[in-house]
Amino acid sequence: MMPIAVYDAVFVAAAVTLVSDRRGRLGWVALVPLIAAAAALAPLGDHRYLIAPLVALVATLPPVRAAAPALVLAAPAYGSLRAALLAAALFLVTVWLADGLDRRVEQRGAAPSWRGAPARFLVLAVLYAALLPVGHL
Amino acid sequence: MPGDAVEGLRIRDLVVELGFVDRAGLEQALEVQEELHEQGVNAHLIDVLQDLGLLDDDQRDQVVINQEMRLVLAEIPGGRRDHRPERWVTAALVPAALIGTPLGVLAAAAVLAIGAWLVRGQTWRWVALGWLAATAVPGTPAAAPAAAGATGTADGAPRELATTLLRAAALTAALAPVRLLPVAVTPMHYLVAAALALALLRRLR
Repeated sequence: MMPIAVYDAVFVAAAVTLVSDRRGRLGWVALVPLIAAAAALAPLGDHRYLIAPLVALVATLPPVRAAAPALVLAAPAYGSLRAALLAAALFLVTVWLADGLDRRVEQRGAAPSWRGAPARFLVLAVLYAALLPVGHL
Repeated sequence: MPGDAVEGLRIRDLVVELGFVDRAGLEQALEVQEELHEQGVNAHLIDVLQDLGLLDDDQRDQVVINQEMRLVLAEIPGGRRDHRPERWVTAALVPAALIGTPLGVLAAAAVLAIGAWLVRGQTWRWVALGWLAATAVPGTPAAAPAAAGATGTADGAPRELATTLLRAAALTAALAPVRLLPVAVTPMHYLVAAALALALLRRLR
């Protein structure tokens, strides 16, 4: 089974976050890639089988409403702490940018059927394409 | 609707019954709410309780979830008002985007369907499922169904949990053949498809 790319996981996690009514612990969610990378780099020797359950446990420790994006961000195989840091920063920036753009779309009078989640998904799709170079860093 | 039917469904009853707030705390919050009401501010009791520090985020979620489940069980008209398709479209999007093979997506759909039966409205069970999935199958995409389930149940809206997740399972399975197309399918495509599907659903309604 091919693991999801870090860049893809960030946008799926952002999509999950943006349809939540009450977002919380975004900072904690952003920490999950760092925890996953640190666990992957830990000198566990023969006990590497512990990594997946431990990361999943840490990812789901926050309140339930943050469990979904946290689990998504725990999914990719982070090659280094730098990659994890970049993912965390990209996640926060993406959610912030998508929020701002979504507000502008609402203010400019989007058609009722496109307001809310559809507009957010489209904004994220545009950001996915626009920020692609960041994914290659 | 008889007044008795509402007893036990109100926030003021639930916070005390669940042991989050004592009678004195509730009285204090009701007084504040009344004062706000006199000033023309129509504040919700649950918001007042939270702002007074008598209820934290997790407790608030539990109260809302509890109330919604009871509304469904009591079959009170209006209790099944949460029909927003965003939740199940996103719940389907998660495993579809995270898992690379059609068989994997179908397996995720099956896990979602089984999960709908297993969790029965208990959001923390999805958290446990996420942990178990990652433990049982090395390789974190196994946690995708759990993440999808958490998406469907988070925000205190498990009112139509089984329906939501079964729809998600069906949509996830339907998306599986997309992976067979001779083009690189990225989350961007899923996001656009999800936006189109939601807009179309709204138009049809």
